[in-house]
Amino acid sequence: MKGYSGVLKIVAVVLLLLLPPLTGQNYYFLHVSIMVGIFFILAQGLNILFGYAGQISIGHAAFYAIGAYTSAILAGTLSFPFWAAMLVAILFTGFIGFLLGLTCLRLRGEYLALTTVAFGEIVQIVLTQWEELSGGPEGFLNIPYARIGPFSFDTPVRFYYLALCLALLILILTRNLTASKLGRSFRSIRDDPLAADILGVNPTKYKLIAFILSAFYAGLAGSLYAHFTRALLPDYFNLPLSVLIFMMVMLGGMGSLYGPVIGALLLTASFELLRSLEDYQMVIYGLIILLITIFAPEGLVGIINKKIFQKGSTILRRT
Amino acid sequence: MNGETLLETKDLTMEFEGLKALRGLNLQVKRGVIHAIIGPNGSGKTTLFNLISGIYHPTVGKIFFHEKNIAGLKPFQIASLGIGRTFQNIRLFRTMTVVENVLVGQHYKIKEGFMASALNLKRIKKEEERFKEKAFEILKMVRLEGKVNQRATELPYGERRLLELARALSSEPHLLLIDEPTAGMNEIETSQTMEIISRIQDIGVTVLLVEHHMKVVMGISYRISVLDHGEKIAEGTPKEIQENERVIEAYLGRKKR
Repeated sequence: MKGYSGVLKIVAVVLLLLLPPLTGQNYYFLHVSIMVGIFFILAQGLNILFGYAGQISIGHAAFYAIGAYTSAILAGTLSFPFWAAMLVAILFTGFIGFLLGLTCLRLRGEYLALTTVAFGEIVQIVLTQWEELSGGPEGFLNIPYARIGPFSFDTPVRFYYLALCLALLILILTRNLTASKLGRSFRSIRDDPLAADILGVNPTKYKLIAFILSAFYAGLAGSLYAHFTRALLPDYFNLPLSVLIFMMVMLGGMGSLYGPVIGALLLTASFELLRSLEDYQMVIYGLIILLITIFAPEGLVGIINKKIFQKGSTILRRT
Repeated sequence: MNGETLLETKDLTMEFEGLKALRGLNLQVKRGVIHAIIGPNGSGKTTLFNLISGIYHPTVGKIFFHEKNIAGLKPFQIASLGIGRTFQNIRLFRTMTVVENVLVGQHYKIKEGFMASALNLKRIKKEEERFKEKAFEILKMVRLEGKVNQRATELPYGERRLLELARALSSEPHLLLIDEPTAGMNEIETSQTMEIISRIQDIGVTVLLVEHHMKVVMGISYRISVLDHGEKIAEGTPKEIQENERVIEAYLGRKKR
């Protein structure tokens, strides 16, 4: 079984590497693929916080925005090199994650959810109003291309490979972290914070680590997004976007490594395809959440493991 | 009385909005023994456990463990000093497998840095293997070695209790608080559990036991303290307790005169 899943992984990576030539470098297709990669990183970050550590967040677009704007301001206004802007954006977003985590330490369930919604709104308002810094509602324009040394990621194909590398890196990083003591500690405070505490797992510490890690991921995704679209609008980082990220984790499967891959893939695609149905977006999300909660609490990964690979197999569910 | 005191409570009092769950309890637990706490429902046994493990902080009084006052410390800090416990209403990590539950118990023993884990260094793999091996040994002790990869919630009731015991034991505590280990168990499971608790004592762990099952208590305890309405009304060997007038009264009610 292990060999089988290994082959599956290699085939997947080869396919991803060959995607641009296979699709004839179709601009729209590459655009969607890059967004899948970015959303995967975002959703995986939320998966760590919500799926593994059990701390709900419906304000994740805020971290995404902070990462994007930090990177844009550093690279655009302050002329930082791309990699430095990205690094600082990740660290700064992580710091904000730490602060939000500290604020929310005693909150659980619906109270935490509401606080994170408020956090999302606040960040969006600040980005809209603080025009000197963010460009205000007109947006932050002319963000430089991502560039490492003399190499510029200035075509969709090049950017696709950048996003792919980072997404794979995040996948491996998440696998390593969640398969170790850190992952177990996260899951223990999610399953039963009191029992975890009694066994020596400091819930406060691990909640904060989850918030910081999750924000790191969002910072990376934001920075990528900024240098991909090269223009940021505060309106983009709204509540429906936070809900979308949340949905990716729910739909794919909470606390499973490949859940966010599936969630990001399906929902990014449908988000693009259903753009014309924007008014009904929230209704559709609502329905999906309802169905998932009732019929597949472990998300699509849970269904796949149960139906196709039978019980006990861990091709997609790595614990 | 001989032997060194491992745990001592002094004037331990716990009040909940005017209700005194524990009143000035003085208790000494000797190192290396099985010490049982018995008493009718609501007599303060679980409150005592919650105080020792740091879930509650006492209104008045002190708790000395290895001669250090631990009252007011947080549960995870108390765990790090070497006190483990199980719960009356089993609290396993329900999405985790049997072995993972035990691995969480080894939290303090496992040293894995963030960066090393992130890079999945060989050292981490070895470390994980080593502790899985250890978890396996502990699971053998409670006869769950055949079910390491099952989900904790898939186990039958009695085995869930044993798993919780194994999990608490895996942190290698000096003192283990066991809260009603045989509640809901049948005869066979009960006697197995008794045997396991005796073996826990044999490997040098001091056991503080809350139990309703008198056969268990009388069979394995070195010393018994009896609580009633938050006060200690008697203490002694199993034989002394069985013959104690006040204990009989607390359990069966006052004799009519």
